[in-house]
Amino acid sequence: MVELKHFINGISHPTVILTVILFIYPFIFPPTNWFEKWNKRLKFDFFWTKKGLITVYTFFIGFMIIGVQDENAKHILLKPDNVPIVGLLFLVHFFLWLSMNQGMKNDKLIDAGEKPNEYHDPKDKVLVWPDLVYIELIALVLLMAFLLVWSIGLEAPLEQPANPTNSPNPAKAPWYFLGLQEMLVYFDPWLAGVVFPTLMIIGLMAIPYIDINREVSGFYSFKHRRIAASIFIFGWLWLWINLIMVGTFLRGPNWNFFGPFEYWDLHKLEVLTNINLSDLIYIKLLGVGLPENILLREIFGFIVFFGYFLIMPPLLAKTVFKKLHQSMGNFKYGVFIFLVLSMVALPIKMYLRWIFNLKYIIAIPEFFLNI
Amino acid sequence: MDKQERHYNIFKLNRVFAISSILFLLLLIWTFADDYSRSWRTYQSEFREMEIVQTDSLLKLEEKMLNEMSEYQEALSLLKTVEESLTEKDEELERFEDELSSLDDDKYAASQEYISVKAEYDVAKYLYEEAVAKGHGDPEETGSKLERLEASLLQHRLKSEEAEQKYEDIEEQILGIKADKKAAQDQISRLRRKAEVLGKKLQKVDPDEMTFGNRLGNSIRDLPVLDFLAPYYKIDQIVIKDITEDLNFANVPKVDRCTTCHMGIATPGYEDAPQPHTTHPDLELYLLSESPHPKESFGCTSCHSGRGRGTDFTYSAHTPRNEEQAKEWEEKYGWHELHYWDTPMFPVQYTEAGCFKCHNQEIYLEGADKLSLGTNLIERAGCFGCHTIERYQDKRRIGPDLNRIASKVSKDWTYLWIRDPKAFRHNSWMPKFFELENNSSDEDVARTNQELHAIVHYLFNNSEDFSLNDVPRWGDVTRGEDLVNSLGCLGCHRIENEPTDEVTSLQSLRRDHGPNLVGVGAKTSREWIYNWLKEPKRFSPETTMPNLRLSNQEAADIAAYLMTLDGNGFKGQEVPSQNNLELDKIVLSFLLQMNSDYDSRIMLSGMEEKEKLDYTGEKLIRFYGCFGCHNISGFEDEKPIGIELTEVGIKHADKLDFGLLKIEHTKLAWFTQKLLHPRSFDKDKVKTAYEKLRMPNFDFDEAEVEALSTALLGFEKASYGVKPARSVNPDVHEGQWLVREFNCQGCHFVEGDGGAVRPTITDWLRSANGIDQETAEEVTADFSPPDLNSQGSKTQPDWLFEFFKKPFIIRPSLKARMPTFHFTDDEWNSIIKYFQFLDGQELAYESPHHVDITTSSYKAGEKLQELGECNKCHFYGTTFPSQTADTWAPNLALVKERLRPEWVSAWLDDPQSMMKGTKMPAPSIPTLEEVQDPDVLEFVGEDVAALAGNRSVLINGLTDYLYTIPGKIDISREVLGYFSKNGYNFLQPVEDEEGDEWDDEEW
Repeated sequence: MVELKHFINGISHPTVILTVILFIYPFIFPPTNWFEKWNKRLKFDFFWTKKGLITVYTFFIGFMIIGVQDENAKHILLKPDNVPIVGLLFLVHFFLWLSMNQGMKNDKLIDAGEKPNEYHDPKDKVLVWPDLVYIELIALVLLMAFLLVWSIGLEAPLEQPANPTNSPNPAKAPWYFLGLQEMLVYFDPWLAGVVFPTLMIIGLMAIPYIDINREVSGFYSFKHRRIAASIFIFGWLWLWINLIMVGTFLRGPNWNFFGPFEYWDLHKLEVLTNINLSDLIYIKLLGVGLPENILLREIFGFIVFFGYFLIMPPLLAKTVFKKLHQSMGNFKYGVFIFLVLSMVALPIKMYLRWIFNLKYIIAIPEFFLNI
Repeated sequence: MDKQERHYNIFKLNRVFAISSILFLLLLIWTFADDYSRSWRTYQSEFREMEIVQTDSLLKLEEKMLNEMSEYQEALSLLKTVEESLTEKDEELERFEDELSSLDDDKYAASQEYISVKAEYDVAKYLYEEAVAKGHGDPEETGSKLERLEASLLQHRLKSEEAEQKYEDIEEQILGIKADKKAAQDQISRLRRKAEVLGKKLQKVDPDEMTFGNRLGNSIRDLPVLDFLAPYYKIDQIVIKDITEDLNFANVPKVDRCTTCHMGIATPGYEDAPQPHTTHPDLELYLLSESPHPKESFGCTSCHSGRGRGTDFTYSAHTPRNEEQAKEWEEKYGWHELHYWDTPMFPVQYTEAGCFKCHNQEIYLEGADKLSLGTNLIERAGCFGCHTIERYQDKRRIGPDLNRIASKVSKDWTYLWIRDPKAFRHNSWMPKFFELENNSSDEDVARTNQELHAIVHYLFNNSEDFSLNDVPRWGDVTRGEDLVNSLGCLGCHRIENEPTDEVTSLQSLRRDHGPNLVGVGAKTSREWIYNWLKEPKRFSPETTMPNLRLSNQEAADIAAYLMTLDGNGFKGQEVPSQNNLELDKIVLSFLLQMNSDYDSRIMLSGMEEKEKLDYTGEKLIRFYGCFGCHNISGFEDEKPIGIELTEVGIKHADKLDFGLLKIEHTKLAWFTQKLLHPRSFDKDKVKTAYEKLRMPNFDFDEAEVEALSTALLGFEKASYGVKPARSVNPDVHEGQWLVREFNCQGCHFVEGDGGAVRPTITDWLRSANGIDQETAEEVTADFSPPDLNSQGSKTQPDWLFEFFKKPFIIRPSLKARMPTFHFTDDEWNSIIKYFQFLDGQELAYESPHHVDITTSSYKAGEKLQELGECNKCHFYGTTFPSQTADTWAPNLALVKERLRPEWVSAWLDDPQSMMKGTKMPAPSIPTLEEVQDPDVLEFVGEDVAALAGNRSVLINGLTDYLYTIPGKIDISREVLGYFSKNGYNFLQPVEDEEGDEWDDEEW
C-alpha cells in the first residue's frame, strides 16, 4: 500500500500526469482518421458504454475509499471546501459520458445509413405548462432537500476574521478560479488574469460563427465533428477542469505540488531558478553578456512570439488544416487559428517551464511586458 | 390545444412530487431536531434541575432557621396575641369603620359643593374685573355678586375642611387599634425577606411551584417557532463596549456567550457541581458586580481568551491542559482543536497570562503567583538581555561588569567558568552555552574549546586597570561570619554548597538576587573582596549591590570569612591547550561571513595569533550575545541578539520553527521545548557552526518553565480601554520596579510580601544567643528589617527622602543595617510615591504639626506618657531606656521629624492592627467609668480625668506630646558605642528577668 501511495504521489506530479493525459488524449478523442483507427484498435470507445461508466466510477470510488484511509488524502478530500470539487469530478465525467455515449450511438446509426436518434425522439418535446413547470418545481424541492442534508451534515467551512498579518498558506482562489490561478504560475498576471480570460469568453462566443456546419447540428455526434469536439473538450477538460483539480487537490503550502498522499509540509522546498529566454540564449548558449539594447536583448523572444502567431497559421493552413482552411476561408480561419494557438500556448509554456525552467519568452520588466 | 397532447405521465410526476415533498418535510423536521439538540440546551435544562434542587434546599434551610429563630417565633406569637386582642375590639372597630364610610360620603359632598361654588366665584371675579377695566357690564352689580360668593366660598371651605378633619380622626383611631398588628407583621416580613426571595425564585424555575397560568406558559414558551417570544432556554450573551475585539479592519465590542452553558459560574453554591455548571473559583476577585472584575464589564474571554461567540464546546476554542484531557474531551465532547482561531483559550494552568491584557505594566501582581514567578524568573535570568521586551526596555544588564575582570579572577578560572558555570556554582544564573544538544560532537567540542580561548582573551585584553587597595587590617573569620549572618547579606545572597530541594518561589528568588557565595574564595582574592565590599560602585558602576557602610575592620573580617568559602571549585578540570589549526578555522568562518573566499584566505594568512584571538573573541562575544547580560567594553551600544518577545503571546504557532522535531505544533509546546532544551530544534538539521541555535541552557525545571510560559503567553500589546490605576501612574511603576530590581523585599515586607532574610536572622539569633529555635522564631520579627506596611502614611516624605539618602539607626537593637543605595532623587521620589500610593496617600507637602502646649489634652498626653513609662523602651534623645537592650525601641525625639501625626495617633490607638505581632503595647487610656474610682482618679491625675472617655482627644494629646520631646535625633554613634562594648548577644536567657520582658517593643 505504501508503495502504491508513493507511486500515485509520483505520477500525480503534473509533469507526469498531464503528459500522460496529453498523449492519451487524441486516442480517446481522435481528431483524425489515424487516431480513430488506434482508438478502435485500443477499444477506447469502451469508456462511453454503460460498462465503461461503471468502470470509471468504480475507479473513482475506489480511489476515494483508499484516499480516506490515508490521513493526508482524507484531509484534502473531505475538507468542506473541497467537497464540491469531489462532486465536480463525478458530475463532469457523467455529462461527458452522456454526450459521448449518445454521440457514439448516433455515429453508428449514421454509419449504417440511418437517421440519428434525435430525429425520431419525441422526448425532446415538453409542454411548459404543466409539465416543465411541474418538473422544475420537483427539481426545486429536491435541490432544497439536498441542500438541507448538506448543511446539516457538513459544517460551513468558516474561518476566523481576516487578518492581513496571518494570511492562509496556500492562499487559494475560489474553486472556479483555480484554473486561472494555476495559469498565474506560468504567465504574467496581465496575461493570465486579463488577456486569457477575455480570450476565453470571446472564443466561446465566437464558436457559433466559426462552426457553421449545419449538416451535423441538432443531434449528438462525435465522429462527424471530431475536430470541433476534440478541440473544445481539450480546452474544457485539460485546460480548465484539470487545472481546477490540480489547484484544489495537489497545490499545497507555498503553491508547491504535493501528491494526494503526501503531507503538506510548510517547509518543503522546490528548485525555482527560472530564467528568461534571453538569458538562456545569450548567457548559457552563447556565453556572452546580455545586450544593453532591449530590442536586441529580446530579439529571440520576438522571433519566437511572432513566429508562433504569424508563421504557424499559414504553415498549418498548408498542412494539417488544409481542408479546414479551404472550407472556412481566410478570415474565419484566421480567427479560429488565433484562438487555437492562444489556447495551445498554455501547455506549451508549461512544458517550456518544466523542461527548460523558462520564465519568460519576452521579458521586458522595464515596461512590465513579460510573455 | 390538443387535450391529448401530453409528453409526460402526470401521475408519475405526481408521485415523484409527493415523494420529494415528504422527503423535504422529513428533512425539515430533521433540521429542527438538529437545531434543538444543541448541547447548550441540555446544559441549561440540567442547570435548571440543579437550580430547583438548590433553591428548594436553601428555602427549606431558611425555613428551618426561621423556625429555630427565637426572634421570629416571638414575632409570630406576638402577631397571634395581637390578633386575638383585636377580636375583642371587633365591635368597636366595626363601629368606627361604619362611621368612616358615612364620613367619607360627607367629605365628598362637601368638597364637591366647594368646587362648584369656587367655579362660580372665579367667573364672578372675571366679570367684575372686565366691568371695572373695560366697562363691559355694571361694576356695582358684579361687585356685589362677587362679595356674596366670596362669603359663600369661605363657608363651604370651612365645611369641607371640617369633614376632612373628622374623617382623619376616625382613621387614626382605627390605625391605633391595628398598630400592634402591623408592627408584628412588618417584623415577620423583615425576617422572612430571604425566604420570600427564594420562594419567588423557586416559583420561576420549578414548574411544580408555578401558578396554573405560568405552568401553561412554561410548557409552550420553548416550543419551536414560538420561542421567539420569551423562551426560558436561550443564548445568554454579555456585550462589553469598553473591551473591543480587533478584527483588523474594525474594532467591535466583545461578545461573550460563555454563560449560555456556564450558567452557575457567578452563583455561589455550585462549587462542587460538574462542569459546565461549576462556580468560578474566585468570586471575590471576579464576576460578581461588587468584585473588581464584574462580568458585565469584563466578560470571560477578555481574560481567558477563546472564542466568546461560540456556543459549542469545540467552537468556543477550549484548550485542554494536557494530552490526557485532550483525549478525554475528544471522547466526551467530540472536541478538536479549532484551527481557525488565533486566540484559543489559555489552558487552565496558564490562565494567569490573561492578567497581562490589562495589568501588563505592573511589576508585581498580587494573586497572579505563577505569572509573577514567570516575570521574576525573566528578570533574574535576564531574558531581556538578548530578547527585547518592551516592559524591560533600558533595564540594566543583569550580569557582573566585565570591564575590570582581570583584577577579579584569573584567565583559567574564567575559561572553565564560561564552559560550565554550574560545575562551579550549582545555582548560578549564568547559563550554559557549550556542550549542549547541538554542539557536543567531537568536532564541535574541538571548536568550542578554542572559541573559549578567544573569548577569554578578548575579555582580559580589554580589561581596564583597577587598583586594589591593600586590606589594612587582619580580618577575623568568626567575626566576619557573624557579620555576614547578621547584617542582612543573606537577604540577597545564599551560602549553599549543594543544591537543595527548595521549590522556586518569589521568596526563594529574592535570596537568589546576588550570587551564591559558595566558592568565592576559590575564585577571587581577599583584596578584591575587601575593595568590593567597601565600595561596590567603584568596581561596577551599575551594580545593584549597595554600600553597607562597613568599617575597615568589618570589611576585612567579612573578606577573611568569604575567603574560607572555597567550595569544590573546578578541582581536577584543566584548560585545554590552544590549537591554532582550530582557531584558523573559526577565524575563517567569520571572515567568510563578510568577505569572498579568496579575500578571506588572504586576510587569514596575514593575521598574527593575537590578531586572530582579538578578531574571533569579538565576533564570538557578538555571536553568543555575552553583552546582553555583561558590560563588556566595545559592546556598549550593541543591539540584543535574540528575537523580540514584546508580543510573543500573540505569535502564531506557524511562525515558530519546530525544525524536524516531532512535537505538538502548538505555541506552548514550543515554549516548553525551547526553555527546557533550547538547542533541540537543531536536531537532524544540516547547519554550519554559526547557523546553529545559540540560546543557552538555563536549567529551568518544569514548574519554572510553566511559569515562564505563562508570562510569555501574556506578553501582548494590551488593546483594551480598561487601565488599572497602577498602569497609569508612571511613578508607581518606577517605584515598584526599583523595589523589585534592588530586591528591597529581600529584607523588607512590601505589599505584605517579602522579608526573605528573616529565616536567616532566626538562625543567627539562635546561634549567636544560644536560644532554641522556637524562641528565636518568636523574636525574629523584632530583630529583622522592618515591615514596610503603611510606610506611605507613616513617615513624612521629606524625612524619608533624607533617610534614604543617608540612613541611620532607628531601631537601636537591630543589627541588620539599611545599606546606602546610590539612587537619584527621581528614583527615591518614585519609591516614596509608590509607598504613598499603596496607602492612598497623595500629599507631597503637608503643614508641619503645630502643638499648643497649653491645652489640657497636651498636659493629659504628657501624663499618659509618664504613666505608660515609654522611657522603659524608648530613647529620649541620648537618654537610654531604663530596660535592657533587648526591648530597646526608637528614639522618641525622632518622632517630630519622622512620623505623620495621623499615623502616630492611629498607631497609638491600635498598634497590632497596623503591624501584626509588634511588641508595642497600646497605651492604657482610662475610660469614664474607670475614673469614677477615686484611686484611679488620683493615679491618672486631673488633666487625664477631665478628658476621660474621650479616647481620641487623649490619644491626640499623647501624639502632641511626642512631637515636643527634645533631644538628639541621630543617636547612631551612642548606640553603636554601646553595642561595640557590650555585644549584640543580649538575648541570652537570663533567669530572673523573664516576666514581662517582652511586653514592650519598638515600632
